[in-house]
Amino acid sequence: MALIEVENVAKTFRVAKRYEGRFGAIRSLLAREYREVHAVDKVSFQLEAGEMVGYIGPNGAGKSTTIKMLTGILVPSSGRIMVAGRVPYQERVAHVRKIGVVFGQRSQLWWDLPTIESFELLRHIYKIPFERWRENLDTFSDILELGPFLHTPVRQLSLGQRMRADLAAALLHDPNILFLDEPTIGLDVVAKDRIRQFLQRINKERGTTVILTTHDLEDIERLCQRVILIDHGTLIYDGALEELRNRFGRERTVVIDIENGLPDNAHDWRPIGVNSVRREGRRFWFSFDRHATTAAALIGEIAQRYQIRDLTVEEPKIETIVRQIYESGSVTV
Amino acid sequence: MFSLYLRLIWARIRGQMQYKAAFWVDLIGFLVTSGIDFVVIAILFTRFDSLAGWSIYEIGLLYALTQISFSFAEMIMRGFDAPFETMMQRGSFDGVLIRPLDSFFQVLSSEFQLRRLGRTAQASAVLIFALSNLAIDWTFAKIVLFVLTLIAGTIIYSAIIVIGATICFWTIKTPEVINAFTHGGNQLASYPLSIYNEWIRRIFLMVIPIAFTNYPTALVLLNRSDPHGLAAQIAWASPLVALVFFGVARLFWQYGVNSYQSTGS
Repeated sequence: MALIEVENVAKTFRVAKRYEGRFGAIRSLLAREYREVHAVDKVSFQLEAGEMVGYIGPNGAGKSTTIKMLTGILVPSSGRIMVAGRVPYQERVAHVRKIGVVFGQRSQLWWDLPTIESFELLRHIYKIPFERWRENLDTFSDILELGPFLHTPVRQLSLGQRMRADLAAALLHDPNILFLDEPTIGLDVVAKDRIRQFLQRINKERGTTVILTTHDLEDIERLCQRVILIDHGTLIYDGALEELRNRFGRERTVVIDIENGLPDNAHDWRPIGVNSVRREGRRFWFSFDRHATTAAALIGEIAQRYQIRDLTVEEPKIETIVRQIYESGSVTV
Repeated sequence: MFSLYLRLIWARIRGQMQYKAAFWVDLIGFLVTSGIDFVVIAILFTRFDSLAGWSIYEIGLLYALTQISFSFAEMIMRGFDAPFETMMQRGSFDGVLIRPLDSFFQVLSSEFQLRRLGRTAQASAVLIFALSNLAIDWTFAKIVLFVLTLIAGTIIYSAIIVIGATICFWTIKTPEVINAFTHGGNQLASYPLSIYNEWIRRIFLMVIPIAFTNYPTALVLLNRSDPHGLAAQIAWASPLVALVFFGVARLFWQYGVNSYQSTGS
């Protein structure tokens, strides 16, 4: 039996219609009409213990709704969810004792109190043996560098610090599964990197199963072998990241700023393997197929023609991949 | 469980103490604003000697009993009051459902409003004023009844606050009508129940049993009888009435939580 089994799960919300116009508010009060929103629609997948899976999709795809059903916050409208042999919402208390949850947008810590006091309270809430708690806290403080702000009230922490504290808080009770909803949202590169490294270690050293939702493909690239992609509530891809990228995420983009002195024929030039070139002032976008050429080869070629001042390589966005999946006709729903 | 409750409440109080000035301003604010209530009644009595046969001191006893209970309920049940509304609006009730504790317990232990002691202090002053002018022949039974009534009253007001919070699961906002039963209810209960017409008396005895916060007990303490034939001894049923009413509120809460889980607001 897999650790997490999701079978034909759907979640439909009834949303009251709103009317426009001057008397809209009154009208929607009197004549309540509802429309149904299928946030999640017949999704099935299985997860084994120790996996690290990226649950991705554009905004509003149904990622958070799925996480909320897996954590027992919401009851599915239909279908079956089993996590470690339990139906999450039916045995909510027993279920949540074994999981850790982090919402990127919302802290689970006690806002007005020093960070360490939240950890203390969690020790009592989860009845964690003192020795184990101490051990975990030391380990996490060490890797996440919590030390400098352990005695600072949570409300005064920076977003990155707060996120690290929330991560530690979610893991103090040794959960088997860690759910992360947009754990790197709004963070700078350094903070993102620290969190990714931490997650990798937890997964490797403790065997904690990690499911994270994100719309940052880099999170996935760094952390997950497997991705599940949903769009409009429907599962459209479940498999290795490598394959997803080979099939639908082949197009990368080199963005280059050049020094003064443009050659006259700048518009016509298109290196081999490049699908399209866009230009705005001194900035060029070269979109290329990762199978036809490499970023290094392309940059080398460009450098021979132009004086490069600055450059970045952009990975395909989730939205682009989703579009290509639809275009390829591999979505059968 | 109780030690965890104390720990969580203590954490909240320390949190509030981060804003000491606001605490004292609010405490004194509650003392003054709630004090005005009884001043209004007292002014009324400068024109009348009695109200339906009740003296100002007897009214003071009614007032103090219901007010002290109400202040306790507001203090203890603060988590179900405005902060719960905010919790619903921000969607942070999700955070409650991911903790391995009963949701009712968590909301209860999420807040404790010490500053409501302002109202308690004011009502206690009225109680002292009333008792020192009344010649009550205190017996052991009367003292027990007095204490039980305060406890029952606290439970009754607490149940109303829980019902108000539960409605949030569907409406996101506690409807104003709940204030009619909490604030309005304790205003109404500041006067003898006998002055109201029959259906109001019925509602406050049998539907939302606010009358049990003071009236029957005051009848017993003052050796009075009800003009409509309500047996004063019913005062001893106050704790039972309170517990049943609270039980109903608690079930309603559970129904609300289940509904939240299947609609997800």
